[in-house]
Amino acid sequence: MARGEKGLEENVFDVIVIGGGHAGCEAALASSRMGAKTLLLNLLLDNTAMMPCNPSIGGPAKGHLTREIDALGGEQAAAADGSTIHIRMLNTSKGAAVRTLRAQCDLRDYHLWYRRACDMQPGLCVMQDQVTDIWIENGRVRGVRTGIGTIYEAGRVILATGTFLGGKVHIGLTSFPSGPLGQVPAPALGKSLREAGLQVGRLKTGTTPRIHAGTVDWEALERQESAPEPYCFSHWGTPKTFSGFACFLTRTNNETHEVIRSSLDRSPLFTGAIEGRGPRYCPSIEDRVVRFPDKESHLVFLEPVARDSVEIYMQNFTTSLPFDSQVRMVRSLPGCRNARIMRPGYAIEYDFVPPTQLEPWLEAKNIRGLFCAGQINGTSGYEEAASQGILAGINAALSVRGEEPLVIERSRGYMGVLVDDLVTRGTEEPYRMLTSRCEYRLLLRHDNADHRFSPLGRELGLLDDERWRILQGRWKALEKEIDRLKKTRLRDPEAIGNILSGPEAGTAEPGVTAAELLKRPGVTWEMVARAAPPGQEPDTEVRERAEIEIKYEGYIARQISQVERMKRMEQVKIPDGIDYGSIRGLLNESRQKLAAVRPRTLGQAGRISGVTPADIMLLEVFIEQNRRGMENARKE
Amino acid sequence: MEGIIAAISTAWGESGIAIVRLSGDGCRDLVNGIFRGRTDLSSTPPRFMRHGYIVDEKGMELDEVLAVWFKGPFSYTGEEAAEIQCHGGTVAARKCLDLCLSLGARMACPGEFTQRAFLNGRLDLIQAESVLGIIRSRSDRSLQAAAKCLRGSLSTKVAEIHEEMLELSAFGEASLDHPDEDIPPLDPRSMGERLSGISEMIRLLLSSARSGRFLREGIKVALSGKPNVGKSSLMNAFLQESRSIVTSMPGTTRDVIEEVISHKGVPLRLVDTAGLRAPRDEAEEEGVKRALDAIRESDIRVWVIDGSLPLSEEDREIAKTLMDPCCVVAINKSDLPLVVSERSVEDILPGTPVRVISAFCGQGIEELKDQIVLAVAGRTSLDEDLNTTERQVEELGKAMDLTISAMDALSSGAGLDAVLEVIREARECISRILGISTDESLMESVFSNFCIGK
Repeated sequence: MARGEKGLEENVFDVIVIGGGHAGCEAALASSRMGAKTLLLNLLLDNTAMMPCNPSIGGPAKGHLTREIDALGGEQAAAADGSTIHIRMLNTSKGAAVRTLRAQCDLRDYHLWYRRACDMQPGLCVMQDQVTDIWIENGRVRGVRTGIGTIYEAGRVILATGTFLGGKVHIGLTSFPSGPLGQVPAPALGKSLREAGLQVGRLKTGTTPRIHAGTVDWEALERQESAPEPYCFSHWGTPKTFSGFACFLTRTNNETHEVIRSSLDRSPLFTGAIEGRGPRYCPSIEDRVVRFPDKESHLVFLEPVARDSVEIYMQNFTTSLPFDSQVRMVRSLPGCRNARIMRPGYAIEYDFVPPTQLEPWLEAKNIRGLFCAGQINGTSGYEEAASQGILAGINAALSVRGEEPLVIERSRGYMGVLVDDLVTRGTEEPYRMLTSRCEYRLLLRHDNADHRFSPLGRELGLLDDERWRILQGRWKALEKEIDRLKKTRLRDPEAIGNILSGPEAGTAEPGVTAAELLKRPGVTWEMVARAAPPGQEPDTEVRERAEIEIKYEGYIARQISQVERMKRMEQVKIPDGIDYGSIRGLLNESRQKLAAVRPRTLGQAGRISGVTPADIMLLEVFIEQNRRGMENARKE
Repeated sequence: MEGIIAAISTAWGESGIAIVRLSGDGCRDLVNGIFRGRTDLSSTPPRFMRHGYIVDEKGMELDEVLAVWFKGPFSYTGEEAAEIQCHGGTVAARKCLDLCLSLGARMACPGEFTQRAFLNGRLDLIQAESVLGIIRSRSDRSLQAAAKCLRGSLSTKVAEIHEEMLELSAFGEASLDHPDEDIPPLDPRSMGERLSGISEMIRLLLSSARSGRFLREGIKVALSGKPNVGKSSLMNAFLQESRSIVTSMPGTTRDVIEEVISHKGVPLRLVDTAGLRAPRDEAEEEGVKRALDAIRESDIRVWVIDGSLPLSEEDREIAKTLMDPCCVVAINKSDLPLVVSERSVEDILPGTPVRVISAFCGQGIEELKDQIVLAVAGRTSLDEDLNTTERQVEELGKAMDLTISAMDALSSGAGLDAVLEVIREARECISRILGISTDESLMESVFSNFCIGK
């Protein structure tokens, strides 16, 4: 881009966000809410926060992220609550740390929620335009240029381009440039990024065919109703129950598998037409049939996508086989004999920016002021995207203010694990958040996201007085209830016996505390409260959390001590521009990896795969050597 | 610095004194907890040696010791430090170290005492380079020692334990992360049974490790050379008694014979290998294969040459295979007229020490032993071998405790999430022994075992 070109005054912003998906919207909202003058540029405004795959929010790890976004002051939980048509609590019997919500959303309502939030947000300017160039001077972002020739200036630009960059859709052996669901792709920007010196890679994802609800024999299928208990995602929402939009289960069979096997010669995946790597956790149905030949049947969920829509999403049935095969595959499923496909399934390849090029606050290492969030970083999922969006928005705004960037520790939340994994280890397939990726999982629960993130959100100016006041009241009530349970002693042997009536609950002497009883297998807060009622009945949320905190006390303490042990390493900063070539004794492989990732702390360095504890010890000595050397130089 | 670290800071030896060294805040009181002397360490001024006994948790006296503590910053590491000098040698020192670990100390990483000394300002900038060198060489030595221990049966057993833990974790994690999938439910009873199976596997391994059956240490010395040059006679000369079958028929030693002797407090594991030559029959072929394995695993090779016969092409071929990492040459049969000169051997293996001996008369044997110890000890930090073994035992012990905790968690009705966290910790201990990264192997296992969608 030519130097010296100047836009109009009204085209000068603090922060520009490119892309209006889940990452882009959260980024734009956070940045403008923190007082930065923000521009959100979207290819098509009617695509704002579109759900091109399954219109569902939550599930293990993803639901945790949505709660964290909410606690920090983001929009996703409210958007999900505002559009839910079906909701369930998952993993109820597997433990508090993995218990989480999954909601089926009306994709139009969800889109409208974000659309309204962005349109009405003071300090945020929403525009439909296509960015073709990023304006970079001397390693710093200056602004962007769009397809119609407008130049917008800003010192911070957030890339949240999803799968649009260099998008290419495959259906059978047919392929064409396209964004998701037939949207126009953005071909020019990828070139501009490469020219700016960013390394760009290729990934692949896909989606399922959508079928017409009127052509499915629903009576033949097993129903999965929305939960009878009221639920909501947001810490400030009102829990509700839902009906009328059940999900249904069907299964693949031998016929389906036969159609798939006989179509593999026309599969873009198996013929090598697709170069990008797809996710292992979300394989296409043809992948499953090939990789697990002994499995006779796979579950398929039929799910509604919106209140006023006849389109049905087929969960677990992602495919990029030719359309004629898709028709036969769908019609082999029970209940779908006469089903009519409205949109075919497809695979989509797209450009991504391998995320080890980013700082742990999502800013590019080589281009100051350029932030990346969402699928461009190699992730998959609306929740993963929104999490990075809010963090990028916050950090762009902090950078405008000239303040220190915000880095979320792995021990604080899933968001921290997500970003740390991306920038430290990178990813070779679309990255999906999983609870098993978190080493401090028992601390990072769905129920305590507010404790972990709201103080931060408040400090950043993302939580208003009203929401803060509600949390304070809740936290006080929780503290009081835990204290009460720990101090209340039960003396009536019969009451104790009633509480400990379960087969594994054991026995207890009179004088035992309510908390000690609550720790026993099978004992619930309600059972204890019957014998030792509280003065004032606490909210359901407070009750549940008190129970979790007490039951998990020992395990929580154990993980806290693990966090403490790692703390020192997380605090030792690695100075900028350190020359790994000059550290004696580092193994060559470690030297290369450290130089490529350029970690910020010893803790981060230790998580790079292949870097050994000995390398970290050497690095620490070298840092101290440098520090003393500089100190001596100053003295002289 | 964080935590109390401990290690044995003397090399092997059945005789003499072995020292357990500790560093970190609170190590004086930790040592005092297992020390019984006329005066408590806590009421002893720093740098005063106290005589007493190390007692275990049951009050049993383990060893007679001298104990001393240093107040930070006036210690080698610049922080509170302590030393226990065990009179019972290495075995007593290991028991003493075990006690310290059970009281909350952890095994020091290779070079960690030196690293702390530097970070705490006890070593100056000029010494920084050598600090880096020490950390590197000790880590390398430790890796070599670990690899040596991991060959053969130990490795198979540890890998089996790891595999079993991984499978159990993958099963559990898959059901937590993918609740709507076709994953068969994990019932607590079968999970408990598998955990108890794992803990039994670790227990067996630990008991044999503690009795030293395969985590044996010492300098492994391979006696090698052509048939009939007198390797077995040399072995006997070392042992001063007849163990191997010694005849003048070439190829008599078909098996690998191993004996441990102690020279100046350093245990030497002597391995008498079959003569290296093209085998004539199946039994001999097996013998040669074992000999080559033994040579590969050894710390040092003694190339035995018959000095009464001229060097052949075969000799030169053998020499090449023995050079790396470390070799000593013994020109044998000095009781006969020698035709091989030290000079001609040095031409083949430049820089390699050469000794002229007679295994038959016992001449030059002591000097050869000296040379072996010198050649190995000059290159490496021998205490690292000992500490590596200790580290492996420590990890096995922790894995054992954690597996039992996981069983307790399961039977006390804790959620699958909590149980799996404890299993993860246990698995990490085992992964560290094997030197593999935990997170990727778990993901691999989940995705290869389960067909997972959403």
